[in-house]
Amino acid sequence: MSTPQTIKHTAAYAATDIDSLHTLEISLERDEADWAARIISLEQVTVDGANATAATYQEDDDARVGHLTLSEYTDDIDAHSRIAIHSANKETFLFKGAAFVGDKAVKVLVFREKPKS
Amino acid sequence: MSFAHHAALILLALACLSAGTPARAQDLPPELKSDSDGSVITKGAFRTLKTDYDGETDAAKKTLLRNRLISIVIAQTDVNFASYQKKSRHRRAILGTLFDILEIGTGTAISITNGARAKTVISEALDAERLGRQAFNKNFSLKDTQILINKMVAKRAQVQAALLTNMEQKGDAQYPLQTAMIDLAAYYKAGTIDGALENLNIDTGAEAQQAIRVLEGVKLSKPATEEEAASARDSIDALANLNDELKVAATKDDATKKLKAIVAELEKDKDIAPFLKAANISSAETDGQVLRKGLLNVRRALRSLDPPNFDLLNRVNRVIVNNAS
Repeated sequence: MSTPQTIKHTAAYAATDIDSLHTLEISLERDEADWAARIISLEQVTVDGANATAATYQEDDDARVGHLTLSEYTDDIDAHSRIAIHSANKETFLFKGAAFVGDKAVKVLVFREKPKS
Repeated sequence: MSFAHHAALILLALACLSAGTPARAQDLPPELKSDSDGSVITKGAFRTLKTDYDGETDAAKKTLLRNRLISIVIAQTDVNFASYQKKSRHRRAILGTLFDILEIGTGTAISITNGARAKTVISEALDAERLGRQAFNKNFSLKDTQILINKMVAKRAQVQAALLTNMEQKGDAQYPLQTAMIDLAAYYKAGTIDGALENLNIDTGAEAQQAIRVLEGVKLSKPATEEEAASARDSIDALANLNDELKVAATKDDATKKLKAIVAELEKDKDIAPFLKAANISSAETDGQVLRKGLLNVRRALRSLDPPNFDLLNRVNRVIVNNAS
């Protein structure tokens, strides 16, 4: 029996279009929800020579998606403390990524929001 | 007796008194120090152990001696780090002992080790230790910051983990003391301000050098509006709730009816109908899961268009939300 192939989607958001981390967050939430896919990475790229943030999503028919929290961090120590704080709020840490907010390169932590009871 | 004679006598008396005071400022050699400063070993005892190691020919015993020497250096480095954190009054003596035992191990390693690179590494570490001693003396009063301490703790843990793994998994032939000295010097350095600053620089540099990939074959997506994001979230939440209901016998039929109603309403929209057909679903379908997965695929197809059709997506999402409750 063959293993079902995982379908992935990639979206890129121009640095100049993302004016805040919140704008990036809702864009990721919209695309997670519309593709019914879990976000698996966030990285800095160039598209046609312009800076952009690329997000990769993996389709998942059964996952509850579309509720994310992004948190900017400075270094590993800062990341650890932020992960601890979000974990205490029942938010699940997904991965570390990098993005452009305006022309500023930022390091971000991606969390899945606490499931609604 | 003149005033000058009185003054000369007073000065002479003071000189005699000061000569009789013990010379407290002079540091005792490590061999003569008591253990009260918290050091785990004296320089002399360490040298004896090192001589035993050098003369040992049995591989197993040599590995045990190596592990003991490594453990002592780790322990002394830990004591030094703890005294630094606590600002112990013995910190100068503890650091002195640490440098002494590092120098015993490192000095011998330079004469034994083959290979230019290892020699260079150890040599540089030794220089760093000597410089560190000066820097320590000069800069100890510098106010340390928590971020540097955190960086030290993190780096020390990383280096110590590698040391312990090598100790446990490798015999003396694969991981001789001379090689361990490189790691031990790094372990000491990880607990210094210089080391912490260096690691901060390395982290920053590594991050700065992260290659920015050129993405091909992907067009830029416009950022979401609040309304688009809310509509997409509500829609996927509704479909996730229907999925839960389909798994429970008591709610399965009701959920299927809701999904059929959603598809029936979407069929009326001439722009959306072709996507329902492509997803192979219709309101005649009686399997709730087929309908739900079909709707997921309709939404995926609209999002994947070039450019994505967010207007149609919003229409689909609204119909799902309105009929799912």
